[in-house]
Amino acid sequence: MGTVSHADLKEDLIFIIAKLAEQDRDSVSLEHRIREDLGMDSLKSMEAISRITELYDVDPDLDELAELKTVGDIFEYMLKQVG
Amino acid sequence: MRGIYTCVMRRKSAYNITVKERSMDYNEIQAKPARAGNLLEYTLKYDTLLDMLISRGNDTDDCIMFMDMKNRERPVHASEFIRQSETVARHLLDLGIEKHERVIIMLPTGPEFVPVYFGILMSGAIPVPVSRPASTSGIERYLANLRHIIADSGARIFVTVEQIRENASRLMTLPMGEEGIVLADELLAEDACSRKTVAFPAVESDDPALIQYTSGTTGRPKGVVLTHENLLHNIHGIGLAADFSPDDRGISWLPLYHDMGLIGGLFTSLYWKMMLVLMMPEAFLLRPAWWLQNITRFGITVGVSPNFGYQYCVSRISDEAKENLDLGSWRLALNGAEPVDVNTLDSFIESFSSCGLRSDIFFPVYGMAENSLAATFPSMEQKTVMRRFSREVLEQEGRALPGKGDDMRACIDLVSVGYPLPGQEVMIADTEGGACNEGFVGEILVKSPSITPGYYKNSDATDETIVNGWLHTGDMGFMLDGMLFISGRKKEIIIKRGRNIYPYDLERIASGMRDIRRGCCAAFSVPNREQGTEDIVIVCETGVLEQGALQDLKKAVRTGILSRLGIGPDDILLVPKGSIPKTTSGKIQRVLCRELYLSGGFTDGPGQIKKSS
Repeated sequence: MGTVSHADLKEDLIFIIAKLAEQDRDSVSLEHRIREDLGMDSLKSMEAISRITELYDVDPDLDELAELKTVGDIFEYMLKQVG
Repeated sequence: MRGIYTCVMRRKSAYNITVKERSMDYNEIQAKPARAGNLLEYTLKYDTLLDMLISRGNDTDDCIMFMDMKNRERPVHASEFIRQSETVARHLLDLGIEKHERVIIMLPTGPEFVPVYFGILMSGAIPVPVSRPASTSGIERYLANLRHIIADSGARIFVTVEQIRENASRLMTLPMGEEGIVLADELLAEDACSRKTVAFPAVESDDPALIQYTSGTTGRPKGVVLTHENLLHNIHGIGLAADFSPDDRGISWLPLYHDMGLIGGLFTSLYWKMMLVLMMPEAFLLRPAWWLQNITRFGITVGVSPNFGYQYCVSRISDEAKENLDLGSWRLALNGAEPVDVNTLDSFIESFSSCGLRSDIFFPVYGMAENSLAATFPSMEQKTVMRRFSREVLEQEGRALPGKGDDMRACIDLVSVGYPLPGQEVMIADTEGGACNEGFVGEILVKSPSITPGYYKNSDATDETIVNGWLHTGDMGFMLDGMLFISGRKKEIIIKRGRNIYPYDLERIASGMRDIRRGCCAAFSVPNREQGTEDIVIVCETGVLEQGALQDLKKAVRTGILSRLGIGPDDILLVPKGSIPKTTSGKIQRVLCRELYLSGGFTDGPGQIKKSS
């Protein structure tokens, strides 16, 4: 199992979020709140999680997902899962 | 002189939805009243939902296969549910529950929901299932909505899981207080209380079996009361129209607090003795491929989803994931709860034909909570009937005339939602309340034994909605050859991903914001082909001119709406004062506004208003 590059993970996550929020990649940063800043509803948030976890072969826990509010939260969560 | 318009169209679709039109004679169409009834006689198999569950307990097969968040199965036999329901009922009676008392259920779509629901029925009380909060960030609004339901229903007991109870007491106090919040675990506990012999109250077919709160304007959902009889008639009609039998195997990922999941999925399977694979909605959203893998694995014959679910599969499931799929057993794909998009049906069939998916499985259906669930289903002989109409004539004149050519700005493709279920009647009403003729748009009215006796403690709303036995649905449509087509909504409701959104709510929120001209906002929906749903657009007048300030204002409007309604507008247009069309009496003309938006007639931001001469 190869190590995951943090830079790649961050890039992939931002790409996915930007696409779903219909914004430019450059306008999305880790401090952005999924709902308040990026205007994504719960279905879009779920799709973002679906895409990033599938890409990195992670099995998320539903209870943990409820706490993720910013792009950075998702990034931190993913870092923990991929080790 | 009789005019004969011969219309033989074969809709060009590479992916198998081919509809051959017979020749349409205008005069023939116009002369036929738009009213259809299904007089098929039948006898209900049971008097109550409890009898239904008990009967299922006598079968040898497992009734439900629950799938968890890792798609692992847990089969359950109905006898287990019966036993657990009795335990729940005994605990509730021990808590002093009274006949017809309302009990709120907020539980995940899983094995606990079922015995809690039936246990409440056994104790003589009425279940009121509510949705779960989608995330902790939306919780304020969610709790406000929940408080309204509690106040309206007068419920003293709220059944939920530990995590919710923690959150609820942390953020606010629910009206029933801590003692009123009961854990499902407590009701299911096998202890001294559950072993006491207790006489369960008699339950009759005209007893309420469910109160379904419909999403109304913010803060005002109404409780649709449904009796055992209402529900059973609907379930029986569904099974007859879809030809259900114990040979069928169903799958659903819909939440059990949603009527299509509870009545269409759970109750219908129990009644018709079909095995049901039940997934959590979160699992489907996380791994949509699991839905199709489960269809493969369990040889599923019947599935149900709103339109966006099918579209989601098209956009999310990779070719690799398709390699091990075999969808050949799937005979019926019900599509309901929101408008059906023809392009979604095409894309889905194209996308999965390599997996053995049959091209004739889509079954667009129509119904509403006030009618228990289902009103119309297509015929089994031709499940997907699509016709092309002239968009302008339909939208401007309210007439359904054939559309010519392939220009989708001039034409609109609509798929029929079929014919009334057995025992039901459908009518298209003109503005005076009589029946329109076929081919003319009017309000859809329904008459059936599935119709609610009324909204809970709201006879005014009931009297407005159900008149002389006819339910006024608020949906607009027309009939052709006895087949129903939905063309729009009377109250201009936007339906996004299965949810009802009222333009008035968006407008009210935006209108109240600083720098937005009060009363000068218009919200409406435009189709989003890519996602198989509708986009919400709001146009607001403002006096703000500076570019940076406009961007901030847009963001504020988006956040304001999202935080209050839980769903954000897909596009926000900020326009100069006087841009939004109004009638002479000052009423906003939403339809015209929408046309202007679609034709690019607005400038976004400061600048000249494009005036039409």
